[in-house]
Amino acid sequence: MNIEEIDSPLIVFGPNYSRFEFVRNIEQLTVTTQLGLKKGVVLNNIIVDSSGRTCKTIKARKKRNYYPSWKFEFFNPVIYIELEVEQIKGEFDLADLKNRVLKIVKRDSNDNVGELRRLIEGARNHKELISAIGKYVDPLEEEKK
Amino acid sequence: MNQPQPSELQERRWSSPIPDTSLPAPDTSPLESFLATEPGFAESLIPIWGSGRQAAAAFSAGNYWAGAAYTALAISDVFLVKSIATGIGKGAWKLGSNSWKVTRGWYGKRYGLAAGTEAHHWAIPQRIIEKYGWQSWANQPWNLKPILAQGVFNSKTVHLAIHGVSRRLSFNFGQRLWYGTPTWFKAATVSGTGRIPSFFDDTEDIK
Repeated sequence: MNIEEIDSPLIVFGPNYSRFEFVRNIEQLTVTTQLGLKKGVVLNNIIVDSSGRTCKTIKARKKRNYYPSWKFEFFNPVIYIELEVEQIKGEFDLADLKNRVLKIVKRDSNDNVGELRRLIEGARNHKELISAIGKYVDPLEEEKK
Repeated sequence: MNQPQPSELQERRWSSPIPDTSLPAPDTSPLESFLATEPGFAESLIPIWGSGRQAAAAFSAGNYWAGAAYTALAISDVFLVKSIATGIGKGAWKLGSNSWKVTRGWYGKRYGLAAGTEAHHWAIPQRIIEKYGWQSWANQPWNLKPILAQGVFNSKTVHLAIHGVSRRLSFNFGQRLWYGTPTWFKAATVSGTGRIPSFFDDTEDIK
């Protein structure tokens, strides 16, 4: 599957679905640090996009540095990577995705997540669900849109 | 004509009740001699002032490396004092309920955190606080550090990377320390470490 086919925004789960991270666009998905690539944290992740497509990251290689060479980066530069993904079939219907996301949100956060919970439960499709998470995780970027 | 010997000059200076104007005047002004004098141990511990005086004394003695080091120490003191003053101004201690939910709301409001900004328990992790019931003194601003978004990575991802569990970003040890500890702690570490040599200097003097 071509990475360009993934619809933004999207969420990324770790291999055991214990955490998720919100990603606003594909460009953000293809940025990590040198150490991230070396340790393989960007591999074997499950991506769920706004169209409900699910895929797994299977390969990654460095393309170029994200920042110019004169910027100090703690010897661990931020880099663009080329990601290879493969589509997973029959994974994550909307109800299942809601359950997994809510479980993580409830576990990780002692903040007032009532509003987010209401938005997640009321989401009618994957796009609404992921956008609701975006409003909670990254509200300032959401306002810029 | 016989010129007085240096030891004789010294003798005349100390013994004469009337200032001897025939003697050569010292070529340093009071300010110069003040700057050239090293501060005492206690004075050297005063942030900015102590390290500033040590820097001036080192430069006066022609010890430029030590002068530069003490200048850096004085700069770290500025950050230390500024971050402590800012913290006190915004609220250094949360009275009343210290449950995380209440404290997080108060902290976000008092410290003007943008929505979506994570607060990191940098010294004592939240699970330890919950386990031992330390909320009243550990769910406090001293133990919290706002995590700002870094480039394309939002606050949540940076927070997970500090804990070493992000699936998009991986930090090395230095980055975890840098992004995961408050400014006052970093400045205090530099400031405290830089003062260790002065401590040993003074101990020798006492002996």
